[in-house]
Amino acid sequence: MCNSFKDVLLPDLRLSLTISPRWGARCGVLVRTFAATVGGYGIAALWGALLSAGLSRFEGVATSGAVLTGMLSSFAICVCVVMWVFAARDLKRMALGLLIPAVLLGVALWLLRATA
Amino acid sequence: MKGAFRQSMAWLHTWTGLLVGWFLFVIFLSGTSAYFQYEITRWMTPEQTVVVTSQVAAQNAMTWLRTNQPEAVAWDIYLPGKRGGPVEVYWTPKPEAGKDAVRDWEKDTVRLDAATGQKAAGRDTQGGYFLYRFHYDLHYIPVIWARWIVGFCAIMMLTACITGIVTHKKIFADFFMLRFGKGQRSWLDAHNVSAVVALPFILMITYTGLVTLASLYMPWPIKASGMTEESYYAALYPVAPTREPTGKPAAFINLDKVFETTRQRWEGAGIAYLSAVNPGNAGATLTATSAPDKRMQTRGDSVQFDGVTGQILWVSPVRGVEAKTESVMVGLHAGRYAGAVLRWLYFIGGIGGTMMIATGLVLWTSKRRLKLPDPARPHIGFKLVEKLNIGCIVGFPAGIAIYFLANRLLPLGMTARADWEIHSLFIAWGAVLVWGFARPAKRGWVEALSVCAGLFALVPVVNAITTPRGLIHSLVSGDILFLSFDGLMVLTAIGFAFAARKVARHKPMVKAKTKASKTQPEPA
Amino acid sequence: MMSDAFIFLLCLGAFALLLAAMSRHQQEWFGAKLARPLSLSLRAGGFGLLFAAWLVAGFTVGFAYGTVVWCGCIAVAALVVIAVNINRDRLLKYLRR
Repeated sequence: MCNSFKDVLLPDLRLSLTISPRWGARCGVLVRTFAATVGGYGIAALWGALLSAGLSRFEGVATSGAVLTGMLSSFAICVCVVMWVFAARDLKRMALGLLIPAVLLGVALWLLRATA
Repeated sequence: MKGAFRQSMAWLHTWTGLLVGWFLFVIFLSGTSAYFQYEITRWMTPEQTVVVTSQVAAQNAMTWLRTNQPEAVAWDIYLPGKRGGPVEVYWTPKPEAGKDAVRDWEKDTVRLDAATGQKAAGRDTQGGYFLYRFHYDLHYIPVIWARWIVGFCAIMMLTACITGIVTHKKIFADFFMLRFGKGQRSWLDAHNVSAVVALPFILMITYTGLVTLASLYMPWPIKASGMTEESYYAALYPVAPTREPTGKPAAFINLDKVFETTRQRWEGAGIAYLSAVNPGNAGATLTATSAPDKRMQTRGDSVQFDGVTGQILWVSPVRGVEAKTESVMVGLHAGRYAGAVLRWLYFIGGIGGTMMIATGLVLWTSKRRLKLPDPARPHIGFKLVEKLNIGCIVGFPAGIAIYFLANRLLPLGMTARADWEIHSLFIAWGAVLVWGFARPAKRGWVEALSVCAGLFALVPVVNAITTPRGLIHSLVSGDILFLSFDGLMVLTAIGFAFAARKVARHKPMVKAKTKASKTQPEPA
Repeated sequence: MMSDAFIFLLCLGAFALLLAAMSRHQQEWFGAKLARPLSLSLRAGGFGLLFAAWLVAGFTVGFAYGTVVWCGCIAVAALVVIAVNINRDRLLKYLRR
């Protein structure tokens, strides 16, 4: 299984031309593992926070209810992000796919908090 | 692109599964056994033979408190449900003048026999409660670390499940095509069958498991909402208001009335928890919280009564839809609402999940063995996985068997007896782990599996010798609980023996020449 | 208890029908492939039974509780059908005797 994944990770090698393909693949795995952990939890947390801050603006939604909605749905987001990190064709795409939603969520959250 | 996607998902499935597989096995197995935690506790306290209603248990506990702690400023009673168990009683001693009332949770408590209302007689044990707490608090490490570890494993489990589904969509299509063959194929089949059959359960249990500790794992939504943790919990789990005591003493209300009123309010649900403040005073209050054994919502409803007149003072507000959802999700996870049949279905689901994890772990090695440059001399990583598989998949169940045996065999008067039951579990587990590392893999498997089968087979035997409630007695007197427990032990023993035989007879598909030259030096 | 048993039997029947609706298993169990319309109605019958089991569960023990029981019954019933299918040769030999 490891060997087959090396083919998937080959585009990563462009970032590390000087080392052997084997080590290149390993580095790719390492980078992705880190990105999945930090990105997965971070984006899930941002999502939960945004939902919590956003939904409680609506009339008839209890603040504690909005918090729960954010909290309970965040785990699904976390899994999706982890899958994206390992599914992305190369590291550049992967990073963009993490940063864009993170920035969007962050800005939206910041706007909500600023106008509160 | 599509092929690449599937490949990377397959890769993710393999490695997330392997990374947390051993933890998941232990978490799943202990959680599965926790569906019978009260039954296990009753088996482990064989001196207690009578199961009473929670109403009788409450009366008994109240009598004990009136006699032994009449001065206390608060009484709390944790009642057993329909499935039996002891009553846990806590109190807050009357403070010295000018000081605040403080409860020492370790000291100001006693475990009572629900039927007699006296200090629980017989052996000191944590019973099924230990297996339940071990499921998410582990042992020997701070609980917060443990819960983070378990949470990490759960999210990895979810990832492994989803990637497994993405990778192996086909197994849903040819659900019935599965055939048991030889070698790797049969492990794959076993993994697939347990995964597909238990999938609804596994997905539900993993997600709702994360939900049970959501506010620990994901506190950010609370912060973002502008609430503090205190105000959040106060909004979600409202607590009855307190009332100052008056100077006058007054007789505390009769509990029968409380039980009658709550039964009507809660559609038949019982009381799980009673909290009396200033009992014996004219300003006394009594708050009753509902038991989760009747409704899927696990979070209880509360009613506060005037402790003298029995008038209702306060009722916990109706939950919003989100809080209800959370309550149902946690309820689905813990299954406290389930009747006997559904409880067994839960148990089967849990065993299915455990089997899926175990077969997945074994699959990792059996898939790779053929690709090794020299299958008789695998590299260190492969060896490690193989040995850890033995130590975990056989070691932990063996530990559970020893936990039950220790309950029967440790001297009754021993100090820290309950702790030593638990230590025995880990000592046995450690022993199997070491044994697995010390022996060649295949022999390690066969020996460990055989020993494990023997240990489980011993449980009913030792039970029959050390207590008057052996298998024959249970058969004659129709003691369903002891019959089921002993029967399940025998079944487990048969299962392990079967596995041992299978492994012993299994011929790995290794080049005949290498095999002959490498395995000959071993004693037969 | 009775209703649980009934729900389980319905699920068992459902999976047996679904199994019989697949041409590969028709070959193995009956020695010949069945006509396509028959296969399709077997499949429809299987899904119909599953739905019926859900309805029975819902009306006897309530839809929330019943759905959970139904899920559990499906899993066990599927397991039984798979176990029977795996041991087909042994079973057929025994039946022919």
